[in-house]
Amino acid sequence: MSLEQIKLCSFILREHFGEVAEKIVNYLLRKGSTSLKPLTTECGFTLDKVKRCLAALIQHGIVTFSQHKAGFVEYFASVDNVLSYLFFPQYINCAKTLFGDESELIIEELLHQGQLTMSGTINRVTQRLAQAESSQDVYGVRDKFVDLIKTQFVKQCPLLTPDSKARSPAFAEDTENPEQAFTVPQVDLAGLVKRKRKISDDENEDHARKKRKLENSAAEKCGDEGIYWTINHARFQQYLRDQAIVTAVSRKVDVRAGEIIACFLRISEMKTASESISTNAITYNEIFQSLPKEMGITRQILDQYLRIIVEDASDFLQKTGDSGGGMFAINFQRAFKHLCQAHVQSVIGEKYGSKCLRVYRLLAMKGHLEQKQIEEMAMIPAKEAKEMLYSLFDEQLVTIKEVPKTPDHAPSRTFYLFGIQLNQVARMLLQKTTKAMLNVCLRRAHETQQHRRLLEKQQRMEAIIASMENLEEEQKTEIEEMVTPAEKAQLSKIKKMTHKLEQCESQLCDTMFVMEMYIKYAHMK
Amino acid sequence: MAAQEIQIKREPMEEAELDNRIIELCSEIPKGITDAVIQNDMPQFSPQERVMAINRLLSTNKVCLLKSGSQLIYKLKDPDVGNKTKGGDTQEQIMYQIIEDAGNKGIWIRDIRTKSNLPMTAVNKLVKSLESKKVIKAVKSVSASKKKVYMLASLEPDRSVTGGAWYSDQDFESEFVEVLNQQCFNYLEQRVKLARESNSEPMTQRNASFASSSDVWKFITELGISKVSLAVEDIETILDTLIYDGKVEKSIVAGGGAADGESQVKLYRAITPVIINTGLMRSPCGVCPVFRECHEAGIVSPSTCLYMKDWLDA
Ligand code: SF4
Repeated sequence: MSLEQIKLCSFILREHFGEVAEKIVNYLLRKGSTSLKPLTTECGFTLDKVKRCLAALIQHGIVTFSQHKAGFVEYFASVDNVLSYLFFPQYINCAKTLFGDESELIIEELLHQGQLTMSGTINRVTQRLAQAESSQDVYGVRDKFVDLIKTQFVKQCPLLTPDSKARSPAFAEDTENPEQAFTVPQVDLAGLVKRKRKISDDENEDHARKKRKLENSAAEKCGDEGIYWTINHARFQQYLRDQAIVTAVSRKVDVRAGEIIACFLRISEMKTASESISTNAITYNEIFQSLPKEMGITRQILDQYLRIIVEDASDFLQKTGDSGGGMFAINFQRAFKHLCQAHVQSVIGEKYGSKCLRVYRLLAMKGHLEQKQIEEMAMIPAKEAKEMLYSLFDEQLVTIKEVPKTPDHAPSRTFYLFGIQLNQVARMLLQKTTKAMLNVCLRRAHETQQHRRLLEKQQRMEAIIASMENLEEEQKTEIEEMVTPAEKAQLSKIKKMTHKLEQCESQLCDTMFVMEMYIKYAHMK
Repeated sequence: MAAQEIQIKREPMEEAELDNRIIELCSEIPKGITDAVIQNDMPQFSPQERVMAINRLLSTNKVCLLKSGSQLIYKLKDPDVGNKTKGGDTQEQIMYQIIEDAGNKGIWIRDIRTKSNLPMTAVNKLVKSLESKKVIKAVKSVSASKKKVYMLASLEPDRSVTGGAWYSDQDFESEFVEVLNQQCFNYLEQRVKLARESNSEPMTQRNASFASSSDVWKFITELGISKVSLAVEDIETILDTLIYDGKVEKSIVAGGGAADGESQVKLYRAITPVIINTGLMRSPCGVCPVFRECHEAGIVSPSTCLYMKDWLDA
């Protein structure tokens, strides 16, 4: 947990939950864990405020609690869960590409609310779809939800165990049956369907009334009360991990090779424990059989592709045996080492120039080298090489190891070997990226703050137009003219800026992800 | 009297035999021979006779005397040394010998001193005089600037001294290297492009994208960008830099060019990096000079940052 991470956490919390949450979580992070009392006294909020805030944070999985041996209830906060907010756009995008628009909305709702019952989610999503005049009905949405459960992108929250003696509610951790989290409950959607029909009956009813009505009917029983669902972060992370590899292979070899790897990962998913360094071995025949037919890849071509990917220096796929036409596995540790190197090298190449990159890569390939050897192999003049090595050293990208020839460590009789500690470099880069991310986020917040009034005005205008259906063209333009041309120009500029910043955030997110994955896998045995 | 005469007559013969044998031994062992070698070879002569023979040979410039470690060794002298260093004294000749022995790698003046066992001032003087007679020349070594090595004027300095094709006047021609680096890459990249366009099977495509080092060499030679003639090995060094750049990969295959008598062929291929550009470098903060100083509410802060502004306005 670095300082940058905590600062970024604070920012995210402030954006999503407000200042009370920011303070509370900060305090929790500093202390490790506390009971309720100090949160009110130390943070200076009323008990009521703290409680409400904690409830929201618990709902979103940021704060957890448990009963201390001494009897009181302790609260903990998790940095990782806060930072995962950065990935939400990616999650949503993932749901959309995999399962379509309805799933996108389902995931959005779950992310927004933290936890929801299945019927509750379906209800919300159908409402939104109805507004967007989509033809999807309740059952369609239900099917999508079931898909998400089956593919484990959504999981069930642990159920409450009725234990009247405990001071805090306890959850049933069903360790014996992990599948429990992914079983689809029986949901009676008849009530929801009825409601939907009612809505379409009275199309002309205004929004407010419609909403109220929906809220009322939400009280109708659907048979899944108390069973809450939430996002399965681990599954999404796994998807992003696979995606990173697929993209890399597509770039390195070609798109079809990427598709083969994607297919490979899909099969391996079911066979591999989620927390292992590498996938289980999969045979050539299995891969061939599960390739989508429309790709039109023959056995021979597949064989060639597999050989090419295995032989590639990027280390993404390994051949582990010969049975079944050849066994293959993906080693995530090695794959992410390679990707991490690629990111580090990109930084060095951009920041210090191609020659520095050459020196760095030389070291990465050969291990420890003396300055003299570096000059010769990289074909860089001595003076330049020296400068580069020292600036790389200054930025902690390379390390120096002293190997004295004599016991007195006299500099003239010592070899100075340059080398690379990828682990350290990755950590440092992760910190830098985190800070850059914070900076970009702060800037975006700043820009929005600066132009808040203008943005609000635009929102108001859009709301008016939206609320007044069957509007005449004239009237519409009239309303639109509330915003002056100068303001319009300004608005489009803001839009462009925000877009740029958001794009940058997503790219930073990718870098952070690769670094984190590398660090995670590097520690696994 | 008669007996005496005979003795006298035999002596010159034996002397001549001894002399000849020593010269023979010297030429058999060009590295030089020690006294012990002579003694083993001809035990019939007394040490005194051997000393006399050596002295004779030394004075007629047939052999020379060198010190190697704690031992004295005798070495055959070049027949034309006498001519080249004509007018020079024995010291000069010793100097010549030492320098000649160093071959085209040359010898450093301090090493001459230790080998000749003469004082530095004398060595300096002698070397100067040899240099002025154009018998030897001084060459600046690339391995250490300011370090001069001496060698015979007629020799072409070794690569290790001049640094090969990449040096002119002891200066590393880094621009030249970069140009070649770029050109080699262009060639390989073109190769990949052609292979891609062929739309053949993946393996064929991949194989077609490889080029051997001699292919690249041919291309570079025909391009005529190099004034000095480059060897295939020179191009391989350049190709290696491309590997370190991460732009090219190498694969070695056995056989192939059996005609050139080479058992392996080195193949090179341009590759695409796995990522386009890391996120950090696409944000202004990645290259920001005041990154460390930047804090919200600090003198440099994200909200007021001009780099951000320029980037956003761009
Ligand atoms: S916000 Fe501006 S000043 Fe701060 S690190 Fe980024 S570019 Fe530099």
